[in-house]
Amino acid sequence: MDLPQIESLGETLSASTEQQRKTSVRGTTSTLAARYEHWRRLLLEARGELEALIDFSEDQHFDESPAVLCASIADQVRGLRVQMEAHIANALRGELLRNGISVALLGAPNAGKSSLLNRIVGRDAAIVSQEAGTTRDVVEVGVDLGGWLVKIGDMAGLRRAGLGGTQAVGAVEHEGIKRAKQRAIESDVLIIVHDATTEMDPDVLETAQQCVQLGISVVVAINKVDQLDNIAAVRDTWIMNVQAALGVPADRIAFISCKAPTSTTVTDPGYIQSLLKTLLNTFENMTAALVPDSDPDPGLWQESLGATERQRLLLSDCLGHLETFSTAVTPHATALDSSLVGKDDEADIVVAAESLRSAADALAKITGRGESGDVEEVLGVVFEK
Amino acid sequence: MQRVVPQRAHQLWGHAPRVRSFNRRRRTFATVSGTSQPYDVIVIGGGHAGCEASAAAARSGARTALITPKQDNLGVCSCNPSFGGIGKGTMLREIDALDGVVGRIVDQAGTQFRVLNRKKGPAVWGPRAQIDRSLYKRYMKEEILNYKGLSVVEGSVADIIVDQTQEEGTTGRYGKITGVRLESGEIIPTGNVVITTGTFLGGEIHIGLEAYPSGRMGEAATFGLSKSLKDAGFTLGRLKTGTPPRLDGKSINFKVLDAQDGDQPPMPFSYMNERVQVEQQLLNHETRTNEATHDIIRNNLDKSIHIRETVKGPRYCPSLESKVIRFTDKTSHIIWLEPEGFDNDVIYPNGISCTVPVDVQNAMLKTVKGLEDVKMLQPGYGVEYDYVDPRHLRSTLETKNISGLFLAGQINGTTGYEEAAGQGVIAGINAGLRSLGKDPMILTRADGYIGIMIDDLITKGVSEPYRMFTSRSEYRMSARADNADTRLTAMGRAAGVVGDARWAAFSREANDMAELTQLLQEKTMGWTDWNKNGFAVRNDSTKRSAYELLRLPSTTPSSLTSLLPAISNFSPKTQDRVHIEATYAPYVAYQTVSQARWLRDENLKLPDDLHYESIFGLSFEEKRALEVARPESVGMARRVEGVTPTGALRLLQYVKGATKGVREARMREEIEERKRRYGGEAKGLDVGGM
Repeated sequence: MDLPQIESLGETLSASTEQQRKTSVRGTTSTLAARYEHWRRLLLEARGELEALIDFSEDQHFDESPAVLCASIADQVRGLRVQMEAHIANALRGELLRNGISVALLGAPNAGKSSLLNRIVGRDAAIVSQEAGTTRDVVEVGVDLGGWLVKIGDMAGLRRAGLGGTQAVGAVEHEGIKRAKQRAIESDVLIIVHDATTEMDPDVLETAQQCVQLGISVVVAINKVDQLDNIAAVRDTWIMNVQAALGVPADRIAFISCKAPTSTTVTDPGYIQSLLKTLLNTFENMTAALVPDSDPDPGLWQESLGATERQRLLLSDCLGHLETFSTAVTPHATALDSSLVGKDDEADIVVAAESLRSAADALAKITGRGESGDVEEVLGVVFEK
Repeated sequence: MQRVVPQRAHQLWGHAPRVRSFNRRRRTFATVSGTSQPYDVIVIGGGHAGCEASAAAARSGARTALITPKQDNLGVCSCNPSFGGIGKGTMLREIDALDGVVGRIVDQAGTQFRVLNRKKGPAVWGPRAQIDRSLYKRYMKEEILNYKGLSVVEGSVADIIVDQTQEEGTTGRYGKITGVRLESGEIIPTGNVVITTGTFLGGEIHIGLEAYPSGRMGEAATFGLSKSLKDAGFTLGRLKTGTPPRLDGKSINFKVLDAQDGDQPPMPFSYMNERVQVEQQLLNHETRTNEATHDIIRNNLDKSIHIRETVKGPRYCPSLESKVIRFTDKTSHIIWLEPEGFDNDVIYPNGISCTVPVDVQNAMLKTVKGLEDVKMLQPGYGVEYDYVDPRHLRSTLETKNISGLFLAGQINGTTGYEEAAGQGVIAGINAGLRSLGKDPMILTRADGYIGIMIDDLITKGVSEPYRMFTSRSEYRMSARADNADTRLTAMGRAAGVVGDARWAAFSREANDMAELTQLLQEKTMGWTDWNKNGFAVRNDSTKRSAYELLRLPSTTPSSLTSLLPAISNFSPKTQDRVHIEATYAPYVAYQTVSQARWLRDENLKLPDDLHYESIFGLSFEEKRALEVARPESVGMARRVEGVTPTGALRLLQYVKGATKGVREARMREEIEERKRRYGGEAKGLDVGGM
């Protein structure tokens, strides 16, 4: 077993939800290690070409000029970088699956965030009351939703003093609001809870917009529809308003009621199930593997969800070196950083070759093969030419 | 040979009297007690490794003898008439930085000087010199015959003499050197021998289908040593190499060929020289093989036993035969026609070493442009020879099997004059230091190419003749041809092998460089001020020093003189050197960090007699690989082929645990010792409970 396989096995053993298990199992095949090894070989070959140029260009004749050779290697490296970036993005998505998706409930006081939480988790996890501002601190609840590990944070409602004739915001509530905003910004998915009987709250809107800009997926739940006389009448207005303010697609807007079900005959009391469906849908979109345009095989990229954080960090390291490489072989860089460009505007091949060496070393660390031995491999490439 | 002082006084004092007499006494104390040996170190062989080894041993203060069959063979260049090149040139500079001889001799005998890779950044510049073969030999012979503390003995060494009585603490060894025996039967006693016999160990020359024993054209091979080494448990392998035919320059039509000139002005190899001896340089000429050439080779491949055999030859310096076999799609290979000297017409055609029969070589040559009427002076031939698996060596190049026996040069599976000389200088220094009872001088991978080479050899062994490439070094940004002296001269001085003249010159140079660097670093300005002065600096808030500005492609120290007039007080050489240092400063800083990490493992020493079989968790393959290589440190073990990171970790755990055990055992021993020694006086003292 190679190192990535062992890591994934560890993950599999500690998986507590179905999606965690699935992701980890992906990594236990040897495909991940094979891909890193494949990339490492590509880098070695690229470096071999440069090394040949450095060590042999004086006694052997090369059909390609150094500039042409550098350009063709730079092209290969660019392709590789695209693939690595996709892999890293997928690894991040995989981490969502393994570490859990962080969901935040955001809304004005008394919009029904805690009630919604209790309905989702199916127990009285948070204290609910008619009183606005019941929840002060962030209440975190971990739950398995349709196989996804989800951490839901219920938070204080956002409000400002003096608005709507309410009382002043006390120190504790003030801190609660601060924490709520922070938690919203750090979440992966934001559920905005609105009271259907009131206007949209400007504070909530502001924080929500901030989250949308950060790329956080937003789901909007319009609560207390039981208090409306005619849902259909206001439904379209709500959808229009929300879309105008946040640009959330219509299928991410749900109308619900958190009031305890009065009848057991209704299949989806309060439409909570349809909200959950919307949520699961969102999770699925967030954790699906990205497939770069250049590579038509999606199966391969599914695997990259199983990459661990360690692997991802080393890959970022590798990418950093490849960036140095690209700068080194691109002539006419400007200002002080053009130090990477050698005399006579010819690319500094040594710097380029060294960055490829470091990049390949980072990949070698992922698979745990250490650093030694690669000189002979490079020389192997050189002598093939 | 030193004849100024009477022999006895010379033996007693050498050229560093105080240190010497002290060490002599210590040494006498330790092992030889009473026996009077004429020499502390004996070097067998007078090629590139032998000359460098004997000179280095003599510099260290050891009374040294070089044994060679003929004085006239000192400094013979058996293959190409050139020194240095990419990677190799850096090694020559390193030898020179240790006060070696080769760099100075090349500067005297050079016919053309050229820095290869000039366009590719100073980290991989490869200084190279073509030399006059007979001048080189003459100057080297003069140097060696007149070297202080070095005697040359004419004779053939039949064998080494090994004392197999095992002293305590020498487990795993076969014995120790006590002397050498000459063919004449004469025995010269000594405690340290450096063998530098090149390809002469079981050497065999191949031309066409003929094969006869010989080390070099016209010289006898050595066989007795091969057997002794085998008996002592050394693994011997077989390698091959080749050399091209020699041509008569008068019969070559140079007019139709492109000429290649040297650098103007030529850059000397030695840090001690400002100029080379002959500045009027000779030309190289370029020509190429063609399909007709290749056809002749292809049709006669069956007529060479050299290429039919399975013995490994070099991949990078392939014979024309292997080029034709391996690169079938190439219709032409380059040939450099290199002159062999100022006053002869011999031409060395670099790139077409071959072993086909003489008549085929003749026909093949005539197909090449410019060589239509060429007269061949000597045919090309192949050499097959024994080498000793270099994993038997320590990083001092002393063997693990026989203490006091050092091996250097081609016998260790390397190829090339520079590789040989580089090992020679290290083996010589350490043989000398050992004879004086001093600590060894070891070059690590980070110190330079010689360190890289030795580490590669002793950890990985060889499967083909080993040649230096810059790609072998992970430190090539910091270990360059320009800075060999700042890397090594102080180290050599501390070991006592760098003379006063060089030390003074180096100190001056290093001082100048430090002053200029400081001057440049102290001048800092913001981007507007730099721009005002005509330097294109990126617009940001950081202040930049003139030193940092040298990293800009168009900035040189001389372009900064308008701002810092004091720069012109420094020599162009100093300016250039500081410029290169500034260019690589950020990378060197980066490499220094990884170097520190690396040294940590390197300093975790592994005991010589480690029983790998008993280490839990090592795989069978790892145990076998480690048994063969017997690495000196955990870092070295990591580089042994077949050792996995997990294996290295096991080793680390074991060694840490074991050293603890050893420490405890030693403490217990000391307590026992005290008990025994002071038992009478300290009766009743409860030392046992310590």
